[in-house]
This record gives sequence, structure tokens and C-alpha cells, in this order.
Amino acid sequence: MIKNIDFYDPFFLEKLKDLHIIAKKLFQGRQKGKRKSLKKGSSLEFSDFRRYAPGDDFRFIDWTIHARLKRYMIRSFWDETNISVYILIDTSMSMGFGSPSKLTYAKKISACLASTALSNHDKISITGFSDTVSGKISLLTGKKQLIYCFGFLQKLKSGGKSDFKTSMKKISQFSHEQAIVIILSDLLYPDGYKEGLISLLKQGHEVHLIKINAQPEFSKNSAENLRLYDSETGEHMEVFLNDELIKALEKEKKAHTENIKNFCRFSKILFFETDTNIEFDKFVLKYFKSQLFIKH
Amino acid sequence: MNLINPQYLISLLFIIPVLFLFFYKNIITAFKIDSLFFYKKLFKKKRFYQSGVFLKKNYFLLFTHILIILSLALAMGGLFFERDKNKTNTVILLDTSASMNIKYKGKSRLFYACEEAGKWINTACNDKKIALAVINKKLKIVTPFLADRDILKKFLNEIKPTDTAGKIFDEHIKLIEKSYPDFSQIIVFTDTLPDIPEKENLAYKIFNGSDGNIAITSLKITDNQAGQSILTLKIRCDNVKPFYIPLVINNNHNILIEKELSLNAAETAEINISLRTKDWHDDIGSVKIDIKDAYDADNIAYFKLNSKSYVKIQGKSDSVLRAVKANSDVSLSKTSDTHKNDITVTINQPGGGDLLDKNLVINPVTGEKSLFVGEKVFLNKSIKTIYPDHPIMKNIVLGRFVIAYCYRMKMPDDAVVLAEAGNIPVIFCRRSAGSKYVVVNFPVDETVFINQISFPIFIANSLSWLQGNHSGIHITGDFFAADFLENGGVTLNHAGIYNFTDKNKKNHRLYVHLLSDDESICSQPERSYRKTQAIENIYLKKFFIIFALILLICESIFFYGLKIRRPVK
Repeated sequence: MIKNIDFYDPFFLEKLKDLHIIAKKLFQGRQKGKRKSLKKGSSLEFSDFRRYAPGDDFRFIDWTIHARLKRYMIRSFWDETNISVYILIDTSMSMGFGSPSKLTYAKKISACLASTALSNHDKISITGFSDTVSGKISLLTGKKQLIYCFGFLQKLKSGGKSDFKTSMKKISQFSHEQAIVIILSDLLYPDGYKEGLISLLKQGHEVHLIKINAQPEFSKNSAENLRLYDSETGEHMEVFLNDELIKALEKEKKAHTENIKNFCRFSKILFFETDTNIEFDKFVLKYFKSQLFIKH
Repeated sequence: MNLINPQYLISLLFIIPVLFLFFYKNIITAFKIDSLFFYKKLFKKKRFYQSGVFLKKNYFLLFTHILIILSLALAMGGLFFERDKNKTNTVILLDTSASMNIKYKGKSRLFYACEEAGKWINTACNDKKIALAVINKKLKIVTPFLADRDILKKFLNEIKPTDTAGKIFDEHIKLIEKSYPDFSQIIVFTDTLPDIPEKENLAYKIFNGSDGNIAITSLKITDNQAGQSILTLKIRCDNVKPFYIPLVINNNHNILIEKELSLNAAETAEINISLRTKDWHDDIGSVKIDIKDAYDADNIAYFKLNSKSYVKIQGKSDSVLRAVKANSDVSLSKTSDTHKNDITVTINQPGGGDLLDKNLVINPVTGEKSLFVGEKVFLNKSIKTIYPDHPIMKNIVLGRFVIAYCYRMKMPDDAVVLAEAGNIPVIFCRRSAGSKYVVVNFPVDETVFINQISFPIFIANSLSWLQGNHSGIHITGDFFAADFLENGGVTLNHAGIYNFTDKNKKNHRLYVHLLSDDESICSQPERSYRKTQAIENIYLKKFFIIFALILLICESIFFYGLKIRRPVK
């Protein structure tokens, strides 16, 4: 069954086996895992000393300190826990464009992220959204769930209009515990993207934003009249495409990306940008590594 | 659409590549894209990227291109507009009186008239309807208005002269109007018109409102059997109001003077002057000059001869009066055979006078002292004064064109006779002191039909000559090609358009087309006429060219100035 999944690449997934998602902030997980937790626990990583209090496990008394200072000091250790990773994939109609389509590209990234997270005993949840939540798998753990994740990703299809704000609010309602939220979208939201992101930040999530671009299919070298149809709204617009317009569009896109970057920098959101023309594995390895998002 | 050079319409084919390029370059390709997000944002800033905006401007560009090509094609093709053709029903009125039976070169006058009428019918526009009528003692309707030229010619060949005398009366004209209520012009072929219908001066209407074209194919002055001078005009008309062909010229003689003078009152005296000439009028008789009407200005004395003319004598009026009073015998006479045209005023003054000596000419033959008048006779009547109601006179500013009455004329040596009747110069022109003058030597205000038609045309020709823009056939050095015929007639050759400026600085145009009897020219009167009409449309040509240039400039400013690039693959 897994072989029927078009973005399944066992060799590449093998490469990702040793990677894991870094969270810049500490989370208080519910289950044991490999990540440092906010709580003191029983891991091997030393945290601090504190005075002995009745009821403490005397096995943690540091007898060396007692020999020197004649005091009972307890050695405390960080607890280890797992984290939840929410992968939010924009499945609006606009994601269905590009070669390969932005959605396919997003699915591939999601598959890598899911694989990495599940390998590291993290919990993973994948949600597709457009103007509403189009599909969701709740938090899963264990490598065995990877097939289920892939199956879910395979079923995701583009459709519907974009309503980022509403979708994010809905998603934030069912994600009670703090988690890493990775959003894969083209961020072409006429109503804006800021409110949606803020609603996630308010929940205490660590948000990673991956913007996926795709080049239009019409030729850039020709000057011609085009009637462009918006895939989501059905609106059309007649444009005279020439070099001047293409340059202006590029400029506009850059300005838009720059705005997003500035917002993310201000809101402490990790922002990544990629294009469907860029090879998928290169993006995953090079860009995630350069952003210290994934480390060996 | 009437074009002089319709072959240039082939340039309209340039529209095809323009259309092809336009539609080829403006095919709209439909594309479905992810989002119009960026386009919308961009078009809020710069709207002209939108294809719709571009296409609208491109359509306008196409429109201007087609207009430019069309304008240039029409300019090169020589577009002109014909006047309303519905009002060109013509009645040909042939004089079949006895006088038309007189033969010239073995053929009767009627034969020539029929021949000319036949030529006219041949060359008349196809949409014209023509009727035939003959006149001798009575008016006889030959055919109604017909468009069939062959039938008309058949009837024309059957017309024969009669023995009765022919006259045109008002009744005839009324009958024509009754028989042909739709007629718009009458062409009369005749040798004389002794009695002029008094009803209407329809000739005036030719130029009323300038709503017609007139082409005169020939003009002849001959003597008829009654000793009268006959002016025969062959006129081609298109959409002009009814008029009659003028025929008669009187044997009166007048003098053109150089300028009009205003005279002031002077002393009162009374003298008798005896006037006589030998060639033209043997004895005119004595004329009393009322010194009450004598005026002087700038050392020139003017004595009134009659109600219309004055004699100018150099010197103060009081000095002249003294001299005149001393003798009271002043005569005008021709002095010698060697100076046929010199008419002198002789003042027999025994005591002589200081002032008169300066102005007297001593005859080398007789030793008689004479006072020149001739060209120095200044009279005070201008064309405007004599002919105040003439439509041409109302509209034309004639600075150097003055006519007046006098019974004496000195024919200057350098004058060129343009037309004469019975060895009497009727029209001549000359240059003097750098100025040009045209002399008409017949009483304009007394003659009727002849002058009502010929005089405006004469004026038109004269003005053209005065303005130096004539381009006719030259024999004598001037535009009037005086081609004296065997029978003493003269044919004037000239064609052109005359522009006049009225007092309100409005431009008027008069179309005159004179052709000689040269068969090569007369055989193509229609073409010549059309050519003349086409010349008029040089303004239309200019308009089209200027219009095309303006379009080009506007296009450059509004399209390329806004950096709208045309689609070029």
C-alpha cells in the first residue's frame, strides 16, 4: 500500500531517520520522550541543586556536597518528554497549481516532517484546511503510524477558498496543549494572514511558516493578452503580459514576502520560503539545516 | 463617392495588414492561475497593465490607423462631392428665325447652333434631363424633358430655320416656365436678341449664393446683319438657377479711368465747349459746362461735361476759368491722322495763359496747341457706383477697378486689345507705372443681358489677371488669348477658379471655364469641367492630409508617450 503513495521515497526517508525537529522553546509534554521538558524529572541531564526537603527521594542526595558543607542537597534533573507537532497544510484551490503542484510539494514536506517526528517519539497531527478544516488526523505516535499519515496525505486534495483566519481559529480550538505548528501554505490570502497566525501564537504554539511558491505556467518570454482566472473565486482579469508587468509582479511578490518576513521576525515565527521548482530533497536538507530547523 | 484618381484607392489595401496585425497580436489566451492576489494588488497601483485597458487603447489605435490610411487614400484619390444633381433639367432653346439662315463657310448659323447643342448634349451628365424648344415668332415645344440622348439628337437634326423674325418676349419665358416647371436652366442658341425680356434678370441668379458651377465654353463677338455686335456665350452649367444666355452688345464706348476722385465746389462760371471727334462720332455737339460744377484739387481743375463725366485740366480752376473766359471756345478734336486715337481738348485762347502753356501740346503738323485728355481723363464713377446692385459688386472689393462714362477715349500705345467689335476696342488691358489696368469699353449699366453674364465673368478674369494668378493660353502676353477670327469675333481662353474676399473677409469662389474653338479642347469639355471642379477640392485634399498628420501626432502623444508598448513578438 505504501508503495502506491507517490511521494513515498524510502531512500530519502532513510536519510531523515537521524533528524529531528528542533523546538526553540521548551514544552511540557504529557508522555516520556527524548526532549527536554519544562518539568524536573529523572533524565540524565542535570538541572540544579536544592535543599533536601522531607519526602524527597534520598537517592538523589549529593553526598559529596554533604561531606564538604554538612548540608543535604538534592540533585535535580530535567525531565524528558515528547512534543506535539501540528502540520497544517493549506488545501485551498490555489495550492493545486504549479509544477509540481504546491500541494504535492507541501505533502512531501509534511511526509518528511511526520517521519522525522514519529521517529523521535513525537506526536504528530496533520490537518488540511482551506476555508474550513478539510481533513484531520489527531495526534499519533510511533513509527507505525507513518503509513497512516502517508495515507492521509495521499487523500488530501485541493479545493475550496482560502480563509486563513477562520481556519486557524478553528484549529487553535482543538489544539489545547502547546505544540510546534508547521504551516505549509502559499499565503495568498486576500483577507490577510496576520490574524490567523496571531491566534495560534496566543495559544502558546511555536509556529513555523513555510511559504510555497509556484511559477505561473504561461510563458514569460511572450508579450500577449491573457485572461487569467482565479482558481478559488472564479474571477477573471485580462492582462497584457509583457516584461514590464512580469517585473512589476516579481517586485510585488518580493514586497509581499518581505512583509511576511518582517511580521514573522517580529512575532518570533520561523519563516521559510521555497518554490516548487526547487528540488524537494534539497530544500528539506539544505534549507532546514541552514535554518537550524533540523540538526543531525 | 467621386474620385479624380480612383486608382489610388488601392492604397486602402494597407488596412488589411493593419487588421491582420491587430487581430493576430491581440488574441486573448485564457489561463487559470492560483490566485489573482498579486495582479489585483498591482492593478490598484498601475491600471494600464490591464489587458482591457490596453485593448481599448489598441482598438483606438487601430481606428486611428485606419482613419489615417483612409484619409491619405482619399487625399491621393482626390475626393470631391458633386452638387445636387436633381436640379439640372435643362431647356435648349434654339433660335430658328430668318437670321439663323445666314450662311457662314457654307453652313447656316442654325447648323452651327445645332452642332453646338449636339455637342453639349453629348457631354452633359447622364443624370441630366434635357428638353428641346425652338423660337421664331412663337415658342414651340419640341420635346419634353428626356434622358435619352439619341432621341434628343434625332429631334435636333429635324430642326430647320424659318422665315419669320425671332424675338424673345416675356411671354415666351412664361411659356417655358409653364411647359417645363422643373427646368433649372435654359441655354439659348441664337444670333441676336434684340428685345430683352424685362421680366427678370435671371442672370443675376447665377452667382446668388454661389450655389452653382458655370463653365463657359466659348465667347464670340461678331456683328449681325443689323450692324449690332453680338456676343455669343456657350455656357456649361451644373446646378445653377435659371438664367439666359446674353447676346447683344451695344456700340457705346466708354473709358476706364484710373481712380475715383472726390471733388470740391469751386467758382461759378458758364462756358461753352464744342466737342467733336472724327472717327467715332463726327460731331457730338456742343456741351455746356456749368462752372458751378467745376472743382479743383491739387492743381487740377475738373469741369463737368455731363451728369457722369468730367474733363480734367491741369491748373487751378480760377486760372483755367480766366483762360476759358478769355476765349470761351474750347473744343475737343482729333488732331491728325498719325495720332488716330489721340483726342485733344483744344482751347482757342488768343491771349494764351501761363498755366495752359504747360499743358498744351503743340501739334507738329499744324502747330496747333492742344490739351491732352485721353488717358488723363479722370471720371468719377466706379463700377460700384454704376452697378451697385450687382451681386458680384456687392461682394467684391475692387480697388483698382474703376469704370466710368466718357465719349472720348485715347487708346494707349502699350494697350493690348482683348476684344473688339467693329474695330472698336471693347476690352483692352495695359500696364502703367507698375500697375495693371483692365479697360472695359462699353456701358455696363445700360446693357442688360450681355453684361449681366459676361461682365461678372470679365471681372473674374480681370481680377485674376490683376492678381497675377492667371494661367490661360497666352498670345498677347496676357491671359486673354485674343484669337481674332475671320468674322471679327474673338475667343477668350481661360479657365480657373477665382477667389474673392468680401467686405466681411469671407471668401467667395467663382468658377469660370473658357475654352477656345479648338476642337482638341472643345471635344473634352466634360473632362475639363470635371477637372476644374476637381481643382476646387485641393482644399479637401489638404484637409485629409492635415487630418492624417494630426491623427499621427495624437497617436504619438497619447500612445507612445504613455509608454504603452504594442505587442511585438
